[in-house]
Amino acid sequence: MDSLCIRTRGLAKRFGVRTAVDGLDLEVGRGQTFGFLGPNGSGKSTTIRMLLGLIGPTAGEAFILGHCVRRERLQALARVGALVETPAFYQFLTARENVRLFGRLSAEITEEQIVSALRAVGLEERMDDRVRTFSHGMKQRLGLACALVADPELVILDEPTNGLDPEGVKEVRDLIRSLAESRGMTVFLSSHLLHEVEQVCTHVAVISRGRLQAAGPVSELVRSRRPGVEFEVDRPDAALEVFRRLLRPDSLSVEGRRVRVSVDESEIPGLNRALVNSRINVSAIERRRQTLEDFYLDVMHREGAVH
Amino acid sequence: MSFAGLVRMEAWKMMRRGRSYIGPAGLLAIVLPTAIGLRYGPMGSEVERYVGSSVTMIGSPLNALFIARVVLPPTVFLFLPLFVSIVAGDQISGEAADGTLRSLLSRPVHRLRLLGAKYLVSVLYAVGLTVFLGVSAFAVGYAFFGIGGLISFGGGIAYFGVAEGMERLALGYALAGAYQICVCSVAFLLSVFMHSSLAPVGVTFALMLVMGAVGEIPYFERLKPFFFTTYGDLFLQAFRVPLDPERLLRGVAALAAWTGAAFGLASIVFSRKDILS
Repeated sequence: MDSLCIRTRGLAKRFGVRTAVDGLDLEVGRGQTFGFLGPNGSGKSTTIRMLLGLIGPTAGEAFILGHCVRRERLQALARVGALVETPAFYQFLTARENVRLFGRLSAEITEEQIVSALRAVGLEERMDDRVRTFSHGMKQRLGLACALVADPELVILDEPTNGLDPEGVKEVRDLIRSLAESRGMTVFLSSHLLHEVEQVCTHVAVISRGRLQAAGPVSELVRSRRPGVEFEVDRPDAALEVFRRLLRPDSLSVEGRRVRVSVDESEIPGLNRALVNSRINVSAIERRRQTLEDFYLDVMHREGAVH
Repeated sequence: MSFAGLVRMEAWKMMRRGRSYIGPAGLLAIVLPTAIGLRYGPMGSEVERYVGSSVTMIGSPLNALFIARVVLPPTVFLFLPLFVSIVAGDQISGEAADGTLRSLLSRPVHRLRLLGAKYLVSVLYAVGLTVFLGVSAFAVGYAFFGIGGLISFGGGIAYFGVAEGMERLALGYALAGAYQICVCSVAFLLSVFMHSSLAPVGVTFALMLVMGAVGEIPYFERLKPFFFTTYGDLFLQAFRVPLDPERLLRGVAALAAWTGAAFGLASIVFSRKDILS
């Protein structure tokens, strides 16, 4: 059995002259909760559509659970549940009927499974109401129920918390976590919410302009970045000038009176001395925990996607 | 999911959709006033006078068979194509516009099987609607006038006894159904290209109008046999005396060719289509 749930080799998609995905090599292991990150228009949704066979690649191949999506689409998707962008339903059917209809396209499912999926996303009370009466957040939950009802091995979720209130975001986060922990599912999650991804994902990949920029376990990627230190100063612009002479520009940022730098611990006294020598008053030096957001922004700065 | 399962699913969806009932309701809205107008208005006695001036007839020409015959022309050329294309033209384009096509094809569903199921259900709807027209017109006519032989106009007046009249009507409705299947296939093909459920209806009608108009221009006479609209009046052949089997077969073959070509092209396009909506 292939130990990888998702594997892509040189996956590419061009729309006319525009390249949406450019030679993507991606590997997602079984049991991982995998975050797929990137700015708008970076190729995330196009990649997900290619994984699901909704669009055909211009070059390369995608494999799901060992099956080539192009040649063996039905086998590849047999154990996959997916929520692609804004979930769409038959408005004239009830929530239960929608889950039954979409679930039965994947497998034979029982009424108990349908009710259980709707209960898991908090829609049990409204399951016999027509979807046209649902809010955006409720539709998002219903999309999750449709993705999960056939008990898939791999769940592909494209922005699953879009349109949810903070409570809903937390519930979905807990649900995603439980999918991997208690049901042993592999989750492939595309999201803009870096904080959410950091809390639920074991692995991430960052994509920009259709190319893979970084991939690996979250803990390793965050650790790989030099620790952050914040200097609280009276003249942040002047402090920034001083640091620019000593450090790489992409390791600097300013927020109010705080200048943030990414440096090794041994460099802190030297930087402090440089500030004092330039008659800049330092009122605090604070070590900052590195987050996935720091890592992501670093990658994007390097790529020139964020200024 | 098996093909039969997909057909059941699509048929169930169609039955749950409000727009599927526009057709039967619209047809009843034509049949009932026609019968009422003939029964209680001056139209009925005018028909009797017109028939009486041409042939000697004992009793009234107005009956169930006559009503079933008289509602055919307006419905075959206008109302049936409209109601059929509303449903067939929505099959892919409507789902693409709503985003449900994306949800369907994210599942392990064979694209051509899904397309085939949608097409079959659309064709069954077109046939069902034609049959509904015939049955409802006959039933309403029977309730208002009872039964009798069939007087048919068009290329002279023809009279058929009850049994032959029923046979001729069945043939006329079968030919009308064949034309509706062809219209359904064209609307279905357009549905594969479009992302709005109403656009295929408009384009189907535009095509019918253009083909109809171009076919009437003498310069384009040679193109006329290649237009499907040329065979819209094929049902009239069912009431000719004697029947012209060669003309009938030629018309049915042309409609079948259009139907096959439309579905074939739809299959090729749909199997390769990128689902971007």
